[in-house]
Amino acid sequence: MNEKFQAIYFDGLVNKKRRVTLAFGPTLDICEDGAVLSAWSYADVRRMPAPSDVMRLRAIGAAQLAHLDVRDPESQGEIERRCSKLADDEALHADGSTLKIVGWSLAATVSIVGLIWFGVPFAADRLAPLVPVAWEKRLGDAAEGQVRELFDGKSCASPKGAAALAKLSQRLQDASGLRLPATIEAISSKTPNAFALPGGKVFILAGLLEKAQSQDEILGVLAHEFGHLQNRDHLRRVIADGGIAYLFGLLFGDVTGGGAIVFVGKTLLTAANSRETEAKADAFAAQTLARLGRPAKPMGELLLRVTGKEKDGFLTILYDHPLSEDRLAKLSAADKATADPVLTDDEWKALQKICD
Amino acid sequence: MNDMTIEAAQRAPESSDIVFSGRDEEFRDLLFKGAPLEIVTVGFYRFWLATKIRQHLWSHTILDGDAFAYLGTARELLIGFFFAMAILAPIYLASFLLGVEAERETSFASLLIGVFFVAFWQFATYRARRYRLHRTAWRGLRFQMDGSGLSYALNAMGWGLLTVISLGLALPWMQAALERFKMRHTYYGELRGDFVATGDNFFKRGWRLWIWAAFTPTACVAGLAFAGNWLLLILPVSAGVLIEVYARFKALQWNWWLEGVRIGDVRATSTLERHALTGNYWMFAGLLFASAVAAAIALWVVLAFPPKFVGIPIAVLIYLALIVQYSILWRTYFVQRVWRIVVNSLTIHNLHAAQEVAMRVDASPPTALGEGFADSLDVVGF
Repeated sequence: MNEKFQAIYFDGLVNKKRRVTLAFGPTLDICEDGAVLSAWSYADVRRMPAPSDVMRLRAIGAAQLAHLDVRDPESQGEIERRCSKLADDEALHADGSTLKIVGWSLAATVSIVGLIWFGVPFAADRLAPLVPVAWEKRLGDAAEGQVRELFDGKSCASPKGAAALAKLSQRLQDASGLRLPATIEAISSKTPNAFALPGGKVFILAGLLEKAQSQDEILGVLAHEFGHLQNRDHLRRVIADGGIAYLFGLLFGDVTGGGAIVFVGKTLLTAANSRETEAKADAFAAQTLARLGRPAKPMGELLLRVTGKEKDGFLTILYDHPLSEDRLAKLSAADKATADPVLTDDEWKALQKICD
Repeated sequence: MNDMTIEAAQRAPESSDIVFSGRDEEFRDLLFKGAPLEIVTVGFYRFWLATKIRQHLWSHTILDGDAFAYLGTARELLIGFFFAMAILAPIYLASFLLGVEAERETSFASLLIGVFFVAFWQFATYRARRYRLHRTAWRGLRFQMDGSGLSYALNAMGWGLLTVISLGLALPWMQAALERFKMRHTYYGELRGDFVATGDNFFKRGWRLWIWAAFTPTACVAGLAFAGNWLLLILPVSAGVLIEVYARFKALQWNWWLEGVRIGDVRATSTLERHALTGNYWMFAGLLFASAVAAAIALWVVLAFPPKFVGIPIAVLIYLALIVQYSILWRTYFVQRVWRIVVNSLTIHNLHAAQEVAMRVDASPPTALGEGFADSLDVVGF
């Protein structure tokens, strides 16, 4: 068996294109001008991806990029007969079948989404209590600077109003048993809102004081914000948001337009978490108000007034709070009014005008 | 006699053909299958699609009768991405904590941390290029790249700052400096690369485009202020001008770059004309506009007429179709068509200098980690 065929050979060490002849002896001998350049044992020869008319071969143990291009059908047939492991090459199948990729991707997605849905809130609940209060305060300080820049509003402190706010704050703190002292500050902004920052700062915006029809409405909202402070909701949210953003980062990557899907997913999950948190803060408020002997229903009424009707809204699944109607119903159910108002009428009027 | 032939060879530089033999339909089929799969696999297929695209482009680019080979695998990219995500986790945490401290000093000071990520992005693109080059071979010999990604990132940041301050006028010199850095660390076997085109030359050829690019938005703003009613006319016209400017800029940049690149004594000339890419980018803009309009009409119809529980799922499907469509258009007109046009404009000279080049011993073959970083920072690459 000494028949010779033409082929092209690259040895993988020097880029010279060699016209060689093949000799099918005990090994596959690659010869140039009568000299054997390389001898491949038949069991080591593997086929590589190549254009359809070319049979491209490499050998295990040869230089990494050494390869042989065989075009002549007769030699191709001879090689196929002699090299039993020709198609064993990982390179031909290295990247797996499409179906496999789809399957593994879906499995990965299920596990990532499961981790986001169950793992992240769990981790946030466990990690938040481990964060020292001093750190929480630092986070609060950072957020406070931003709040002041964003609202661009002055801090309000008309003497009488400030006194009324201080009294309200003291009574609330006594009744709620907060784990850290809180300070309430009024800001002159038209937006009807109130919010707490980690570390114990609560802001109430003048817009909300304007919309309020009774002091119990404001008392309830502040008690709700205290609920967020008590439950460390900010810390839990920061931890959860970080975790969710990171895990979602595993999906889509740089697929253009995938960002929107990730955004919607994040919004849905964050909103679901947030609805739960808000409901808990409402429950905390109802408890505190009951201890003060004041009604919980007015707070629900104020919320409904601010948000407007939500029940038949579009895409309510994206809301980050429970529907105002549901909140009103729950708060009404928990309503236990037994004591006199916290502030006198004059004090309440002074509080409403704290920014004037 | 012998001396005379050598002299003749020196006078008329030897030139070799480089052609792109891939058919447009083949590439289209690749995308028609791959782009929807990217959505179905929530993005994980991107590693396989990128690999297939590179294999297609490389293996159909034929220099002096032999095709380039792309040796990378999708699995490498996937693993690189996971490693990058693991390394980035503590970096994200550290940047968050640093951000909190910065905010305590001055509000919004944490935005400065974004600068760190821009620098990191430069590092990632350098390492990604290194990976791609190392997985590129011709005639059984690899391309390679060394050099520090960190010093490249610092270089790029410095030049980037200068370019921003100069409103883009420093761009030619920035590109010349960065390309010199990259090409001088590029090897084909033992042959070292170089980059000889200058910023001066780029500037001389391109300054008119800079004026157009600066003038158009200014005219837009002025038009908005003085002739509100004409806005409907001004906007499409300036969009057109910007497409034209971009297309010419890209053609100019390719031409300048290709003629500046050296691998050993091997060099290239290009017959790329000023308008060579214009039709291509207009096609992209037109098709994108058409598909956006079609999607908008379809969305309006399904959200206005059928009941919500039917309309919203259909709207989501329309949105997904739009993403797929964009992905196909982008990869066709910004990757394959440009590749084809540019490769076919090329002639390679002195290829004999790249005969019998020996392998260069590389101490540390690169992993796909750089691409992983680039991917996790949302760098769109091909």
